[in-house]
Amino acid sequence: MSMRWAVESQSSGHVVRISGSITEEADLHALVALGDGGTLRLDLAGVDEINSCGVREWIRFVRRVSETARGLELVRCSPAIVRQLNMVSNFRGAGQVTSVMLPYYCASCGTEQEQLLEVPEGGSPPQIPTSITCRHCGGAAEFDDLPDSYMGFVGLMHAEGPP
Amino acid sequence: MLRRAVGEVAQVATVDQLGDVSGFALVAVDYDALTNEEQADMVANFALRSHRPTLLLLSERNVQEDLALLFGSRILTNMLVVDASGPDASDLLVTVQKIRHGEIFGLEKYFVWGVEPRTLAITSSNEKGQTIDMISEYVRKIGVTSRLRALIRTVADEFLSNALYNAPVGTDGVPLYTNTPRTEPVSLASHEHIVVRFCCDGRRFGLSTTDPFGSLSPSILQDYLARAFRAGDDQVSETPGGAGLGFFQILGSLSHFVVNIDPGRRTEMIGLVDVSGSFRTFASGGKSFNIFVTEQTR
Repeated sequence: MSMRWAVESQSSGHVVRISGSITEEADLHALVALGDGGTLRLDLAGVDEINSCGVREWIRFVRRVSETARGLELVRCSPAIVRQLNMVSNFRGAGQVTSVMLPYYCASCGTEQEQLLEVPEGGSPPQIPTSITCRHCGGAAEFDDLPDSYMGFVGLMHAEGPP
Repeated sequence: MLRRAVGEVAQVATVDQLGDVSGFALVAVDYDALTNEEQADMVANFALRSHRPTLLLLSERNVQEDLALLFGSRILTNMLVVDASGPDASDLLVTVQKIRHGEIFGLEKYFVWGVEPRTLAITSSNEKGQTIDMISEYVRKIGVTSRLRALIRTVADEFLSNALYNAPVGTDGVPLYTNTPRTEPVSLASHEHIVVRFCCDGRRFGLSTTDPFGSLSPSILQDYLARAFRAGDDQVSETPGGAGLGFFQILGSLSHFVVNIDPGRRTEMIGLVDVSGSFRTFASGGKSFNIFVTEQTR
């Protein structure tokens, strides 16, 4: 599924909801101007896939936005985005990650679901609930990743501090 | 286990005792049993040898932290993940047999007899999207979770991009499309078609692409991976063409990444993903990696 986005204007700046796959086809240039002089908040909960050329397009985009925006915030980062935050050194540019989506899997009924986790500024990475209630069968849905690895990028982000 | 696979095995307790191993076809190292100093010694020991046997590292997880160094030294061509009971017996057997006998090609080697891969051929980048969708639909139907499906789509995407843009070379050996933007379509002649194969045995999913060029060299692959694992400012390439992250994304998305090269004739990339459980099962499983080159194994 190709990348899509929708913009919502707020008094402090814009919120851009990005979804689908970020690939070499992703045209992120149009979004750069939205950051001019204000805060750009990128809602990334709907991003399900990024390939290597998509990573490069993304890095170019956040670099350019970082030059013009007063602030860049990455919110509701999907597991696909979190994976890249942990793998690619400058993936967030000067942006701050303020929340992520946690993946859960219910082994009883096979349901996959996500839960929001706020990332507080500074300090240790927040605790990840090991299980939540499955929305489908009411059983226990387990966190579907390695907790330390998943939040690994937070330590580095806090060590580097705000731009 | 190794003895059952090859018969003649010599065993030493320390790196110092390795001595002259030039008479051996394969040196298997329990990487996790070595101290940091011994690991560094082992890397230096092998990197300095002009004629060295194939090195196979066995590791549960420790090797993952040293991949920048190991790929950078170009000694890492084979690593197999181990658990409490040792390496997967069939993967070890396949690795050893391929090194000894030179029969390196084939996705089937990683599956039990009777698993029949689906096969298709493509000649154009315009076919990439539908091929990825077909593979994705196949794994959806067999119940693979959405996060593992996304990894498999990523691998298919990178395999196909590599086969269509990086692999093709002219008769003079010069790359044809390496610097072509990936948004620009490319087409191959019918006799240059890329063979795509995929299958699943319920435990793991396998995907392979084979190009008829054989232009990839192990050192290029190792250098790309070393640069990506170093995670420095040069991690992402800004030169025209690919981003230089493809192999890194592939290795990160697989349980086992195998590259078979017959120089000048063909390159086969094989990706295996543990789909027996959740994403967490996959993520906790570690990574295996092999490069086999026909000239080295003959």
